[in-house]
Amino acid sequence: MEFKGKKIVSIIGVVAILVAIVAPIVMIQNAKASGLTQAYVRLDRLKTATATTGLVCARPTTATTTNIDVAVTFPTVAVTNYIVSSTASKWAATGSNIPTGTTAWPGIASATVTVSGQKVTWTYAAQTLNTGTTYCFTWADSTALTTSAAGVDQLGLIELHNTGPTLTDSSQYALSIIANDQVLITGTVNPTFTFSLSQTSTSFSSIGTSVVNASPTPVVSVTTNARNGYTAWVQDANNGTLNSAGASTNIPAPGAVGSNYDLATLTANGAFGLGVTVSGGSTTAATEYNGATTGHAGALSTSFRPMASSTTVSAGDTITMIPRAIAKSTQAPANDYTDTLTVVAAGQF
Amino acid sequence: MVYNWGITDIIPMIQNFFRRIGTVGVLVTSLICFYPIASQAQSTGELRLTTSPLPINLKVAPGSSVSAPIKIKNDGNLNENLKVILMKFKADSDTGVAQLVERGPSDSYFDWVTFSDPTFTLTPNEWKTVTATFNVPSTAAFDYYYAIVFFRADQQVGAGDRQAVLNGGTATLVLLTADVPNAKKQLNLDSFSVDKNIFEFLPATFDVRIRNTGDVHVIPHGNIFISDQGGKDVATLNVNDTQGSILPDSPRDFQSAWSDGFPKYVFKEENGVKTKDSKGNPIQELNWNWADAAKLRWGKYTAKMVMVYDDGRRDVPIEAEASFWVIPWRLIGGSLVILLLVLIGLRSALLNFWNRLRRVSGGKSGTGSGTGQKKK
Repeated sequence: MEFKGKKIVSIIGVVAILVAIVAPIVMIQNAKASGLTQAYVRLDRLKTATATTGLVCARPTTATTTNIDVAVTFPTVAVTNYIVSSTASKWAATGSNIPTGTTAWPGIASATVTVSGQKVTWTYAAQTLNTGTTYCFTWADSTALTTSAAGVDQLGLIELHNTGPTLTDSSQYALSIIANDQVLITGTVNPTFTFSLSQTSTSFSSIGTSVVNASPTPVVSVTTNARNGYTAWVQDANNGTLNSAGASTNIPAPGAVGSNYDLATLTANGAFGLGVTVSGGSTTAATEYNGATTGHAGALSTSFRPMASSTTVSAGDTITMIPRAIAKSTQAPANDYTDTLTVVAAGQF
Repeated sequence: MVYNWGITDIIPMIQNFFRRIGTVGVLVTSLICFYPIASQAQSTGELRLTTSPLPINLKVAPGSSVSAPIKIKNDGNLNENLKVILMKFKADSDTGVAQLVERGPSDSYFDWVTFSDPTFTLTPNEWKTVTATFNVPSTAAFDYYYAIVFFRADQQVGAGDRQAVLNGGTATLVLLTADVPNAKKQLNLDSFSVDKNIFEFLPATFDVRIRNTGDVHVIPHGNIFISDQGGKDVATLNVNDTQGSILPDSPRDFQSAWSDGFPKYVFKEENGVKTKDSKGNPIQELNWNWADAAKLRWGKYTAKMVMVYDDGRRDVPIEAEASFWVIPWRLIGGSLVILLLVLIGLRSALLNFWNRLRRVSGGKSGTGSGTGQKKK
């Protein structure tokens, strides 16, 4: 029994010794820092030997309430290395222009910057960093950093320190620099002119001793990117009169071309003319054909006369053409009073 | 000849007659019904065409030829049979307004022009390039101005009862210069003016009228420099940055507006479209953009216009100057009223205070203790 007891004590002792030997190996943590969950540096220019601004982002692995700095070491590249400005003020950082879903790095705007070789450190009052948050900041002075020679997977380092300073998290990041990061795009937008005429005929239901408008009213529409605008002209086949072949007579023009007439006042002889109204953009009606006022119209001619124009681009500007007529009380009755108008529009020279 | 037909003979004949009549009727009806529809489908609806480029500037040595491709597209929904018509254009010698003119008896230069396709058909959304070739004789000199007009070739709508018939066309303007060494390029300033002498608020619109007294069209360009009373430049405006041409023996007006002020008048818009009054004039309204408050304009301003053109040997400058005042009288009046009210209020407060002081001092003297005297 005594032997058995001694044996048990010996076994326990051996086990204890083994535990004592193995325990430090199994239970004691490594003293090195954790890797960051996410870490990257994004340069705004990736062209070789080019001054650039940039963005630094990191998501800590270790939650802390005493983070006091973030240090970024830019890669070291043979031949043409990154040029890291030693002027601390050029590395002034802000939390603006950071990616959606990230958080501005706390304390970064008031950080003190120190530069040592390729390493830039932003030091600030103790801040809280959470593990589920990606923190970012940018530097806006492009003279702070100049890119290296072209190459891929150029490795740098991001480190976070707590009070002490004690390294808490660190991770490498990679940059790739290329010969040229911009694509020159050239293109030509040709000047175009789109003209439409809504219909090719319009009728007077009945022409009496008060002014009537032809209906429906034809609408000219112009869309053009011509920088000097456009002009629309109108010409009349009957020298401004509404002719009746059957009655061998006509309703005359309101007067000489170039003036705007109130047809309602021309009951003595009757009158036929064109009024136009415009809409959209900067299109204006020619004064003589301005038909915005009821019953007003201009005389038509066998020559092309400008009826509306614009001095700049037009996007669907419209010119509504309103043929207007009034008959004198003795106007010969006929149902074939007709006229033919020609409308032409062109981009301005 | 005697026909002896029985009823059995007549009935088949009648049936045959009506059968034939029926066949012809169907044919006639078909022609009546469908022919007009087929023809009108191409040419009586909305005409919608797009052309490019515009305008076309060509320079050619006399005795040679030059070609200009003109693209045209049918933006309508139906086939369009189109024809190319050659016209000319010019600028009115008094106003500079563009005029479209048909060929005159002496316009032999129309004969220099040929088209690759004088007539053609475009299906909906189809583009076509029509090449205009100008065979310029050795005797040609200076400028020739063409308008290449695309019309419907088969406009079917004829004159009818109490109606006006419309033909529509779109034109591409061509400025052809027969380059000769003795061409005179010369511009003169007709006027440089501002639309008012005194403004309450901007914009101020400047009008530069330049007349071409040479042989060929010229494109001048330049700036208007606006300075304040202290001589400090406050604005620079472009003149003719759209590269507009001035044709010989005509003027052209170039307008530039200075609108960089606070407050300023802007065109009233509804749904992106300028609103107009009953006479068709655009309506303006005062815009108060407080971000531009520092741009309150007042005082005397001087606008100096400098334009240049190439006369073939050097850049020739054209200069002019105009002055105007900006007096925001309503703002000044309002400020004065506010200042006056403040002064009145201040005076009233001071008087009130003084009266109280006097009352207090008067009360004390009434009890026999004067100011500055120690209370016993």
